[in-house]
Amino acid sequence: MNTFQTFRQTKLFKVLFILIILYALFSWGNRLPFSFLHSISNTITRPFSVVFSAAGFYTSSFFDFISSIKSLKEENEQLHHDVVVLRAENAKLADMHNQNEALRKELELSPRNVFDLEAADVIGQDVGGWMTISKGDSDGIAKGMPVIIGQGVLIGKVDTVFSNSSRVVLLTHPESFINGVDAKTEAKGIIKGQHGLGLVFDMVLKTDTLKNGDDIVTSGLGGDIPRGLLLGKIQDVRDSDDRLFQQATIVSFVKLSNIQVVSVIKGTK
Amino acid sequence: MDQFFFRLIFILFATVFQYSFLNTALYEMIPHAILFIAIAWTLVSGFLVALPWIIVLGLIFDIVSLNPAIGITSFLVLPFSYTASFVSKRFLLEHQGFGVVMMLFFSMLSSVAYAILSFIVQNNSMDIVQIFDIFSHSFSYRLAFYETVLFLVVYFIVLKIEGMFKTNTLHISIRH
Repeated sequence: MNTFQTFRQTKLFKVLFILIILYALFSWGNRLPFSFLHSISNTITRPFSVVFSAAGFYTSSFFDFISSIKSLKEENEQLHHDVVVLRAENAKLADMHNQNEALRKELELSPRNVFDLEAADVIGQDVGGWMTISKGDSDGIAKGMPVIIGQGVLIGKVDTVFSNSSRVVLLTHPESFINGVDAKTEAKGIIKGQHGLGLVFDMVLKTDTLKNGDDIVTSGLGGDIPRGLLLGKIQDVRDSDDRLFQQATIVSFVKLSNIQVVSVIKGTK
Repeated sequence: MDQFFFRLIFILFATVFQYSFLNTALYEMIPHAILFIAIAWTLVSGFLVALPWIIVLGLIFDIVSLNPAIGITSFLVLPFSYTASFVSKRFLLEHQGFGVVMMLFFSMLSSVAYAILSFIVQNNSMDIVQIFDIFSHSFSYRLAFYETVLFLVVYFIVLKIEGMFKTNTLHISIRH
C-alpha cells in the first residue's frame, strides 16, 4: 500500500491519470454536445483566421516562386504548347456542344445541369484531412454539399456548418467514401481516403477494366453528389488485399496546399 | 488574474497561428508549433507548473481547428512534454548555449515521433508502409530549418512571458 501511496505522489501517476481522462474524452466526446464550443471559438477566431490564412497563402506562393525559378522556363514552354493543343480541342468541343444542344432540343430533353455555386475562401487546414471555409449557414451552405474547385474537380464535402464558416472533409480523409466510375470503361467502385495521404479506387469488380491514365469521375449514385465531377487519374492497378476485387491508386489533379478558393455546389439551376 | 488572461490570449493566438498560417503556408512540411510550445513551457517553467496550460493549449487547438476529437492534441503532446522534463533534469540542461541546442535537437526528434504517434492514434492504424512514409517525410532539410526557427522563436517568447510573471521569493523555514 505504501508503494502505491508513494507512486500516487509521482509526476508519472499524474500524467497517466490525465492521459486516461483525455483518451476517454476524445474517444467518446463526439457523443457529448461540444459543437457549441466550436461555434463560439469560430465566432471569436474567424477574423484572425481570415488574416492569417491570407498571409499563409501569400507566404506559400512566395516560397513556391523562389523554389521554382529554375524550372519556370521549361514549364513556360510546356504550357505554351499545352495552350495551343487545348485551344484546338476547345474549338472542337464548342462545336460538339452546339450540336449536342441542338439534338437535345430536337429530342425535347431537359438541359444539362448547371450548378448553383457559392465561392468561399479557405481559412484553415489540417493534415488530418479537413479544411475550414469562410462561408456558412447564412450563405445557404448545408451539410453534405459537395465542394469543388475550378469547373468541376471534387475535393470534399461539407461536414459541419456554422453561421459564417464550415468544415469541409476532404476526399483524403480516412472516413471519406465517394461513388466513382472510370470515365472511359464505366468501371464502378468506391473512392476512399488514405489517412490524408492520397486516394484509392476500391471495390472494383475484377471483370471490369481499369487502365493507367484513365480519369475517375463521380458516378452520381446515392444522389448526394452530381455525376461527372472529376476526382483524379488512375495509377497502379492491383488486386485488393482480399483478392476479391481490384483497386487502383488515384492521383489527384490538385495540390491541396495550393487551394485558396473553393466552390460549394448548393444545387442545380 | 492578469497572468491567466495573458497566457490564455497567447494560447489562442498560437492555435490560430498554427491552424490558419502554418498549415496553409507550409502545408507539405508543417512544423508543430503546439508541440514546441508545450516542450518550451515545460523546460522554462517546470512540468507541473506547465501541465494545466499544456492541457488547455491542446484542448483549445482542437476546438479552434474544428477537430471533433477534442482532447486528442493534449493526449499526444503530454508524453513529449513529460519526456522533455525528464531528459532536461537528467542532463541538467541550461537555458543557454549548448543546452538550447540539445533542447532543439530533442524537439526535432519529438516532432518525428509526434507525427507517427498522431497517425497511429487518429487513424487507429498500424500500417507499416504509411508509418514509414511519414517517417521518411519527417526528415528533410527544409523542415529542419523551419523547426529550428520556430522552436527558437517559440522558446524565447515563452521565456519572456514566464519571465514577466516570475517574482523573486525568499523562503525561510524554521526547523525545531
